[in-house]
Amino acid sequence: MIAVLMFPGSNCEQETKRACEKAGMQAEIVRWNEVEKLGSYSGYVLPGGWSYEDRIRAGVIASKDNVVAILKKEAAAGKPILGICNGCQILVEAGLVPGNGKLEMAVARNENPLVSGYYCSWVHMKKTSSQKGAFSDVDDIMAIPIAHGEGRFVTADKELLAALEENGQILFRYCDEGGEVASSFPDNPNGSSEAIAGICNKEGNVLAMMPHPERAAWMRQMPGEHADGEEAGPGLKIFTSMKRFIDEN
Amino acid sequence: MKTELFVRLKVVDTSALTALTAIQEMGFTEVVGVTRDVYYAFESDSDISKSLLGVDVLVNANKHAARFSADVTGVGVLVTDADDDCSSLLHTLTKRLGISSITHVTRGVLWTLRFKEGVDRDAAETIARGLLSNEHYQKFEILG
Repeated sequence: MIAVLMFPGSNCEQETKRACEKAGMQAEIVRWNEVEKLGSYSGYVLPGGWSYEDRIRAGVIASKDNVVAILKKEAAAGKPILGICNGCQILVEAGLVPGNGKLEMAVARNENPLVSGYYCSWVHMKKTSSQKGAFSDVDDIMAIPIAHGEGRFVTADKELLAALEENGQILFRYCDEGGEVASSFPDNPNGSSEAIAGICNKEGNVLAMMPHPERAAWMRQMPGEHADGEEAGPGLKIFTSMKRFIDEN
Repeated sequence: MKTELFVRLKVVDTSALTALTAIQEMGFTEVVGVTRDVYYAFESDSDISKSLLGVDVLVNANKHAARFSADVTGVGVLVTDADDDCSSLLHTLTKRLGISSITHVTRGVLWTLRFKEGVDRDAAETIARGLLSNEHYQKFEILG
């Protein structure tokens, strides 16, 4: 059973739960203050939204919640944790990603020549790591939507990005339609360092990604016309990968 | 010349209340109040203070109170984004709203922490590092 964690201000919990179920997992929505039952789940998904209205900055208040201390314990035990968009911001602010337990990065305001603030669009990303982890069963270039105002992975630690690359932790990068890693807007939609779209911890069981795989989990969600809208969309692979990892461990 | 503008909500500031709750839950129970001002600093060739109060992109008189100096009763933590050049705001002020003498804008948030007794700059610095700013893209300055 997967816990889809709902904080005050989360707004993607229902479709995230449905994507988990489409991937063959059982899932239920768990509130941020239901900490006593949290340890019983086999995996966790932190969905998108605006936890605590993004007060102070996106994800930081939720990262101080008691529930995050439990997530840290479960992550250390090897359970898979997926943070999507606001969930990604929470995981980064909590130090769960990249994963040394301290604040190593920020998901800062977008750098975007078109608009300042919130920006939503379809983009492409691809896997840029050979690491075998909970979310690594994605080989294709993936069309996937983004929707955020603060999605730019940055760090003041000049050596961190090289270390993440060496460890295989930069799991997803924005790219163009042909798979070339994005060098600028619009392929890189937010100015993220190294075109980072998703980072995992060293062990590969915690992933923080800004794009929304749950909004690309059925073909009917994808741009264009499709013969069978109920077929799996590319984003579902993130969830089926999580299921495979749980089944194997 | 430099002009600083501090803009505060007249109504209850829920962001400041959330910050206070988070600070107390971090163990800093001696902090008993938090206020929040949006901070602007302008470099200009002439006095622009009257013009600034007249453009509602910065101050909406129905809900904001604005001052040209900080009102720090306690310890202030001024947080700014290290790489925010405010180019969009500068363009709006100079090109659309006609305050053409502005040459540079800095933007941030001034958090003022009120302590039960006295002031504790060390605690304020810890709170600034742990909650109010992210050192990977922001910087902070302790005031007061």
